Amino acid sequence: MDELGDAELVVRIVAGDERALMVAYDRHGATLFGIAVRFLGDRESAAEVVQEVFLSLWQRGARFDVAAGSLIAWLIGIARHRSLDRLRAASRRPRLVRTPTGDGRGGAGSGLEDVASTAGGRAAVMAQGAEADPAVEVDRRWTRSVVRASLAELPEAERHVLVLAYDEGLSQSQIAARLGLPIGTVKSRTRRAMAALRARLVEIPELMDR
Amino acid sequence: MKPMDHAEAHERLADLALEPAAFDLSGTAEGLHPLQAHIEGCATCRADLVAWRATHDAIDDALATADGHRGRLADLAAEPPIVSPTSLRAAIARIPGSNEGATAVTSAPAGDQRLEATTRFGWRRAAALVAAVAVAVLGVSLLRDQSARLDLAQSETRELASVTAVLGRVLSDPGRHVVSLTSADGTANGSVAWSGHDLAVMTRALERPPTGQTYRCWIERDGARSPVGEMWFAGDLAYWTGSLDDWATISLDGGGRFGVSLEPAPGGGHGQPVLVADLPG
Repeated sequence: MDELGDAELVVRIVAGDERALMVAYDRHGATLFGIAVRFLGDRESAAEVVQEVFLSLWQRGARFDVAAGSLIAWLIGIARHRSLDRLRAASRRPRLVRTPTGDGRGGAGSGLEDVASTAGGRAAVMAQGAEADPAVEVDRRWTRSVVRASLAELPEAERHVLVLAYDEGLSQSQIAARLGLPIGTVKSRTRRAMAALRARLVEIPELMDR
Repeated sequence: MKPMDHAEAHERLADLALEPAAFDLSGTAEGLHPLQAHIEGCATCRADLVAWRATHDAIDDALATADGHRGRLADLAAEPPIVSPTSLRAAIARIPGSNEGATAVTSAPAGDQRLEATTRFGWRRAAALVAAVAVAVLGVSLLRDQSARLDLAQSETRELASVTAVLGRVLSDPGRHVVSLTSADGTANGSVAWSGHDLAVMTRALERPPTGQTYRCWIERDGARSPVGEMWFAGDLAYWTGSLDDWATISLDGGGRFGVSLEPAPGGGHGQPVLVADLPG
């Protein structure tokens, strides 16, 4: 069962195979939980979101179209909707806490972060500064959460080449020289890392529509 | 100018994706113009280009700091993976059972079939068979039990490592705060520690809550209680860790009281505090 591809796994889940559901959870649950915790800032709400995602997979797995993308991307898309629902619900609640940041961003009348407290824990900040569009801000934070969670899961060797490319602006050949590796090895590591990130980001319509 | 075919364009785009700053196809670098010409007439490659650009944009977004500067990927990459709690896996495992109409994977043989089998083999042979099956089931159960215990121990170890990592980050921050959690009798029984980025609540004074109940964390200010989280368990440690980064909606620096109470799950919020800590104003 562990060797099955995601598409076969979903076929079994749709047929009511409980073990297949657990294999799917073992394969993707930690990723989804990591993203949701980073987005919602609260383990309890994140756990509830992940449960809702797998309930959707169990009940509506037939809607997954393998031709349209990977299972993890589909699940991340569901998690995003569920997380945003929670955020919207939270933003309708009364303000409970204001968090001055102490660096000039906080304080009355200076672009306060408008916050809301959910029944289950902390929700995310809805930035309401003059120049910040809350919807854009929320999309951006979801994207950050996906990127952060994905980076944290990359193998060390793949992360390292990305760090050299982004933080030091090195080209692939410069990275190869720095690490003393064949250029092909560096390229394949970078490709794998970038492909993993891309696969998890394609379900964010706003990102792809820019 | 030699036109670029699809396979070549696809490879070239994948190569460009390796260089964060290489997607400006309007540049004058040799070799980019044929690619641009191909992309203009190829919907697949256009979508490919959009996806790669979006991936780079997403990484740039993730690196942007609140004050408009660019952070380091190394810092993002250094974040430890967030470990999901054991209880979440158990909750997922309960999903099929809670779904009426879901198809069972296996079904037990009907009673009359068992009776027929018993008659055919005779009661002595049937009894021997039952005993053998019982031994086998017991053996499998023991193995499964040991395997489950091992899974639990490994999961708890990962959770403890995650808690330790958060606590380490808090304690290494010069601006950290640590306050004691006290029981109703005033005994110190754990701590709440936080920095500008992380929060860790830990105690060994709680036992796992009964089914249907949970230990809620809350902050009480001016008589109003705001639920902020929930205690999780790893071994005999009860904990809650969270992020206080820019998206956090709670502040522990505004005075009041942090508390933990046993509540129905879901719901609650008014239970008697079992642990409390005064927060600095």
